Parts: sequence; C-alpha cells; structure tokens
Amino acid sequence: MKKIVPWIFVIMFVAWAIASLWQRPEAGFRTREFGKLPVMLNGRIQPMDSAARNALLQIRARQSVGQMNATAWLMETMMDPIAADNLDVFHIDNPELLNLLQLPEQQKYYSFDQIRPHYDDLAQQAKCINDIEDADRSAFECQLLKLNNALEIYQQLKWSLCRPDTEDFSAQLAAYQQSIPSGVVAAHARGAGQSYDTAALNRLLNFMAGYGKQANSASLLVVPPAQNAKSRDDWQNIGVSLINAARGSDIEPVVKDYAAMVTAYQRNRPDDFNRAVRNCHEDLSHTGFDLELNKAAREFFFNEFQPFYKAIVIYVTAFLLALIALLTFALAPKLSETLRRSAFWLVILGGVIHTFGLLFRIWLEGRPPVTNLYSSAIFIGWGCVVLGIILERIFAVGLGSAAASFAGFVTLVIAHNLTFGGDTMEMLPAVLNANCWLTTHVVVVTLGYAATFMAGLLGITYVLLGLFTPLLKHESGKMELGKTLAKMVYGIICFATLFSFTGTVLGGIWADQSWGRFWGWDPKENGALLIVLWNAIILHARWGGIIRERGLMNMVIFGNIVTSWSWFGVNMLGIGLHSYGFMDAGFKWLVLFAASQIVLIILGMLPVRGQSK
Amino acid sequence: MGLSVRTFCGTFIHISAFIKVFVSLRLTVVVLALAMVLVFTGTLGEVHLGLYKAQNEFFRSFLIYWHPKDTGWKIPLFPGGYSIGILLLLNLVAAHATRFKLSREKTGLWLIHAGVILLLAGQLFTDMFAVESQMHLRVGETKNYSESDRAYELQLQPKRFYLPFSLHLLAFTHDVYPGTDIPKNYSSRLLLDRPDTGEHREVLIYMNNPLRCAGWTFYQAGFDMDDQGTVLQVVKNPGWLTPYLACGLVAIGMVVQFLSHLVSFLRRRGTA
Repeated sequence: MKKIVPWIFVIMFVAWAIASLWQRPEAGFRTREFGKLPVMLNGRIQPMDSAARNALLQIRARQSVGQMNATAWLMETMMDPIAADNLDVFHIDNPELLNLLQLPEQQKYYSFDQIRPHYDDLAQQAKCINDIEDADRSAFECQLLKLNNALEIYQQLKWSLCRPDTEDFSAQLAAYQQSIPSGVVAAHARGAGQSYDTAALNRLLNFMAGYGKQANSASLLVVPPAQNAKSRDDWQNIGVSLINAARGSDIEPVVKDYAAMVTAYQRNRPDDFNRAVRNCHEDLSHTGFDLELNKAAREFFFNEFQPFYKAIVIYVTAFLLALIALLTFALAPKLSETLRRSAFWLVILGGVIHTFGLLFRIWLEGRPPVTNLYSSAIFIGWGCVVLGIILERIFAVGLGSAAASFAGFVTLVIAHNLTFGGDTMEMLPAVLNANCWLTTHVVVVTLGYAATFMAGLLGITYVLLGLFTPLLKHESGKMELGKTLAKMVYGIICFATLFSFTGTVLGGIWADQSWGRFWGWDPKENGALLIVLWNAIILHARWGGIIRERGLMNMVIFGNIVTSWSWFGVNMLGIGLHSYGFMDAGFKWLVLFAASQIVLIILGMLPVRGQSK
Repeated sequence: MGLSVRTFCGTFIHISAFIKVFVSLRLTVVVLALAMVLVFTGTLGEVHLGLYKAQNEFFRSFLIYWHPKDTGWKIPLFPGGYSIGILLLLNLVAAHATRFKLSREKTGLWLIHAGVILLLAGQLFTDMFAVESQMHLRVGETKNYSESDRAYELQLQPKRFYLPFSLHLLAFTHDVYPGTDIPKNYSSRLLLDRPDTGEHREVLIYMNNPLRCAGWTFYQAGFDMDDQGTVLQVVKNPGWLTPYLACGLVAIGMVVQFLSHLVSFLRRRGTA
C-alpha cells in the first residue's frame, strides 16, 4: 500500500502531462500550423502563437476568447477585422471608465465596436494622463491608460497583414505589381519635367499611400530580411516590404503567401489557406530561415505544453495530500505515511516539470533563468521546491513536501499574474545585457529570496500548528515536530544568509564593473541589504540566546515582509536603476500580505500550550 | 587611600561592564536593527529627496537631523550611516579581540567577520578617497582630463582631473533591438595614447566592459542625442578591490561554517 499508492498518483499525472502533447490533426483551418510561423516582435523571433497569446493577455487578461484559441483570434483580427471588431475582447472593470465609454456594467469584456464611438475621447484623455507622474495616477487613470494601450496593440495587429478594408489581398497585390513599371516610368518622367501618364502615377501613388500607412501601423514584422541585408534580424512589416517592392525589388514570396492566406480565410476556403501556410513555411526554409522556423516551433511547443500550469495542478494535489498526511499522522499513522510518500513523489514530479519549463526557457532565450520579475517568480518557486525536497529527504515528516508544494503553487500563480504585463521573454536593456552577471548575481540573490521565503513559510506552519493542533509536541521520527521545524528553519536561515549576502555583494561587484560604483544605495540594493541584515539579526539573536524557538519563528515570518518588500515593494517606488520591473496594481496586495504576516506574528506571540518558549 | 582604591575599582567595574556591553551579541543585534531602520527610511527618503541628497543625509552622515520649518534648528533624530557602520565595525573588532578564540571550529566565523570588516573598512576608505568624474567626448575629439560633475573651480568651470594619458573618440555606436527602441548596446571606440609608457592602442568601452588604465577606470555612462558623442564615467578608487576580497572571504567562511554545522547535525541524526 505504502509503495503502490504513490506510484499510482505519479503514473496518473505523468499520463495526464503526456496526453496533452498528443494533438489530433485539425480539420478545416490549421491554426496550429499558422501559429508556428515565425515573426519578429519585441525585438525577438517568436511564433505567431506567442504574439497572439501575449497580445490577448494584455487586452483580455486571458489566453483565449471563449472557444477560440489565441491564434484563431489573431487570424480573425488580422484577416477579417470587421468580424473581429465584434468580438468581446477588451477587459474593462473600472466603473468610471465604463461610464466614460457609456458601456453597460454587467458585461466583463467589450468589443471594439462598442468602444469605437468614444475612441477619440479616450485617446484625448490618455494623452493628458501620460503627463501625470506614475505614482500620482488614480485607479481610473491607470485603467484608462491600460485600455488605451490595449487598443493600440489591437489596432497594430489589425494592420499587420493588410489594410483592414482589403477585400481580396492577393488580387490587390497583383494589381499593385502591375502598376509598378508604368507608375515608375511616369514618376521619372515627372521628375525630369517631361509629360507623363497621370493615371498610371496616381494608381501607383494610391497603392503606396495605403502601404505607407500600413508600414507605420503594423506591429508584426513577418517578412524576413533580403539576402543582402546587414543582419538576419532585419525583419520588416508587410507595408515596408511592399513599398520597397516599388523601388525595384520583387514582392517577397512570403508576402504573397500571407496574401493568399488572407484571401482564403475571407472566402472560407480552408484548403487554400492550409496550402498557403505550408508555402510560407517552405519559402522561409528555402531562403535560409530554418533557424527562425525551428525557434518558433520550439516556443510553440512550449506554449502548448504549458509546463508551469501543469506544475501548479500537481503542486496543489501534493499540498492537499501532504496536509492530510500531517493532520492524520497521530490518528492514522499508516494512512498518513502513504499520503506523505505520495505527496513527496508528486512534489518531485511537479519539480521535474517545473525544472523542465525553467530549462526550456533558458534554452529558448539563451539567457540565465532570471531576467525579469516574471522569471524571478518562477525561479524563487523552483528554489523553494528544491529546498523543500531536501528538507523532506532529511526529516521525512511531510513538512518539507507541504512547504515545497505550497511555495511552488503560490509563486507560479504570482508568475501567471505577471504575464498580463506582456511578453515574458522580453529583450534586456543594455545595462542588464550581461549573461555572466545575470547568472552569478541575480541567480544567487534570488535563491536567497527563495530561502528566506521558505523559512517564513515554515514559521507560519509552526504558528498555525501550534494554534490549532497539538501536533508540535508530538514525536515524529526522532524528535518533537516543533523541534524538527526549528531545526529546519535554522538550517534554511543559514542558507539564506549565505546566498543573500553573496548575491548582494556580487550585485555590488556588477555595479562596480558597469559604472564604477560598488554601492550606490539604489532602492533594489537597499532591499537586498535589508534581507541580509534581517537574516544576520536572526542568526545573532539565536546565538546570543535572545530568542528561542518561538522567537525564531516570529522573526522568520517577519522575514517574509522584508523579502516581499525587496522583491516587489521597491519596484513600486519607481526610482533608481533597477526599477525595470515597475508595477502598479500590486501595491494593495503587498500591503495585505504584510498585514497578514503581522497578524501571524501576533498569533505567534499568544501563549499557547503546544508551543515552547 | 582606601577611598581612591575603591573609586578605581568602581571605575574598573564600570569600564568592564561597558566593554561587556560593547563586545556583546546584544549590541550586534541592536546595531543591525538600527541599520535596517536606516536603510528602510533612507530608501523612502530617496523617493522624496532624490538619490543624491538622500544619500548624503542618511548614509554619508553621522547623525540624521530634523529641520523644523522656519526655525533654523537642527535636531538630531537618528544615527547616520557613518555612526552605524563604525559602531558595527568596533563591535566586531572588539568581540574578536575579547570573546573569540582562534580555533578550528571557529575558522568559518573568523573568515566571515574578517570579510565583513574588510567590506566596511573598504567602503569607508572608498567614501573618503574615491574620485568620480565624467569625460564628454565628441567623435574626433581628444582629451587628457576628466571633469567633476559637481565641484566647480574659481573660473566657474567644472573641476578638472588631469590624466597621464589621452583618449580620442573614434566612433560611438548605439544599437537597438529590431523593431523596438530598447537599447541593446552602447559602445565607444577610442584611441588610448599614454606618453610615459609609449602605450598607443585602440580600446572599446561598452556596458559592463570598462577600461582600466593607470588607476583610473572608464565606464560607458551616456551619449549625445545625435549619437555623435559619448559620456564616460571616470573613476579613481584605490579601494576597488576590497569588495571582491570581502565577498570571497565571507562566502568561503559561511560555506565552511554552515557545512560544519550540517555535517555534525547529520552525523548526530545518523547515530541517534
């Protein structure tokens, strides 16, 4: 029983994870094949699928529109904008904003058609708000800017393949190509002061005006650089590419493929569409862009597999099992042991998938694991899980698994909430563009955060068990559970001190390397220093006998506040060199979190039977 | 006579009590806690006062004052960065002089504390002796001095620091990621000319890749809007190596200390 049940759990979840990889070939329009096409956006090559998901996350705070997945929505937006304008994709929940736009309150999502009548008001307001300092903006003003940004993203996507009023893109391209020779002759003649064919020139200029507008409005760079381009990163949008065609180069085959897709989509001819997508893949491959095709395909796989979502589900299950194991170990030791083992093996499975996701991202980006707030959350979670697994291996009472799965779950949910900011694999500005320092300083200091949080989590466990159960006094393994927890916390605080100190000083050394100042009292540096100081205080207070078991627990809970301040709080100050991770809405959550920790500390001070001094 | 002996003993007892407090772990905890309060309030101060002013008031000071409006009063509220740093330094040194014995089990602790002492002392040293200045070069321009961005000389020109070599800006480049305005890299290609050693070579300075020459270090700090000029941060800091050594000492010390804890703990569990 003890051996079989854990195996059953693990096999079940492995089967579930693998099953999601197996996809039935699509009937009709093959959106998945379209989703794998590479596009240059935000300075990096990514699949259409990522462009679609990131846009939708920013606009709708979801990765799909009802039954429609992100790529299908993107196709509709780019190829049939009139239909797309009627989809409920804009997430608005601020009452003042709804009032301004005269929209009904009961809906959660609104369509572009609904917003259109007040589009100009909105743009006007946004312009004024842009001049207000970030910190002084009201919730209404922040939401208005967010909506304005979402509308901008949406409009840029609508223009990315063709002008939104295009009826037959392929035919339009053919007409354009035909108009080029006579139009160019006319233009030259006019330039030389000779008589020229006015109609031919106007025809060409008309086309070029439209493509010129598209060149300025489209966000997706879907046309690869020409053979003689300086860099293979020089991708262009379709508008730019078409204007270049008038200067003597041919219309790129990829542009023709996209035009064929648009026409087929509008005429509802899936076979033509699928053929055009296939041609596009082939044309890219023939012109030497296999590298980009492969990269896009890899990222597409990553998006579809969703390793972090899978890890969340597994962690939740593991946490529940570990919790039941903890609560029953005095009542039903055998059941408890079975559940404890199951939880442990599930944490390991979750950890493996979590690690896989982490490594895959490193591979995709060619970057160390932590480059922005999102990836720091993923990595802190990973660090906590690894620490928890080690603790469980040493102490085998279920506490390590419970803490690991809880921390893994919470940090991945936080990470998920950070995806609404946009592309999580964004490029790094020049100051941070240094793999060596990102690897040493950022990774080490982030592990320090992880360890401090892990200690805090165990502290909370201690307080809660002491308040609501008699378990702290129970013998488990070789000592009382309370003593075991104290040992764990002490060990982790040592680890946390080592990593936060080394990481912080390494950060100073990086600063010394990049602008000649070891320590500049930047808010983020100060935040990291606070963690080091707090951990040092805990250790010295313990060695000096100033605190014992309970004091230790209360102090590590306070460490949660210190760490969250350094992780998120300083980013909300919006000053200094590190404020790249600026975020606005998180402040309320930070305050709530800090308050909850204070409450726990107060509870931890209550005289309770189960706890020692 | 008896009286004076008694006074002497009394003073001695007082002094030893004082020393006891001074070398105690309690003081360490108190000073570290004061440091936390200072760093936290200093960070908040930076929001209102700006980085530079807040640093001078909170961190590069002995006392933090409160200036009530329109009174001209200066009321000291809290110890500043210098006081806390020096107090911590003294506490550490004193503790090692009296409480700690050199033994194998304490190797880790000695290393850690030696590192912390080096770090604190090194930063105080840097604070006193480091020179920070800037050099602005247009393409094709040559300079053999850098200029202070804060101190001015009599003729109202920025204070100049003459260097034993000159730099000539050959080119400045500013790359962005395709399709965005996110800067990817800034770099300055320069010609270094040093008469006293006959050094004459091209150097490339870019983000995270400074030039070190004759005790001066040049960092890429800024650029002109037309991409035809560069701003280099020019620093002379004789104590620049101390954090590197300190970090190494503390890291090794902690690994030694905590590993020995862990090993003995695991061994006890193994035999228990």
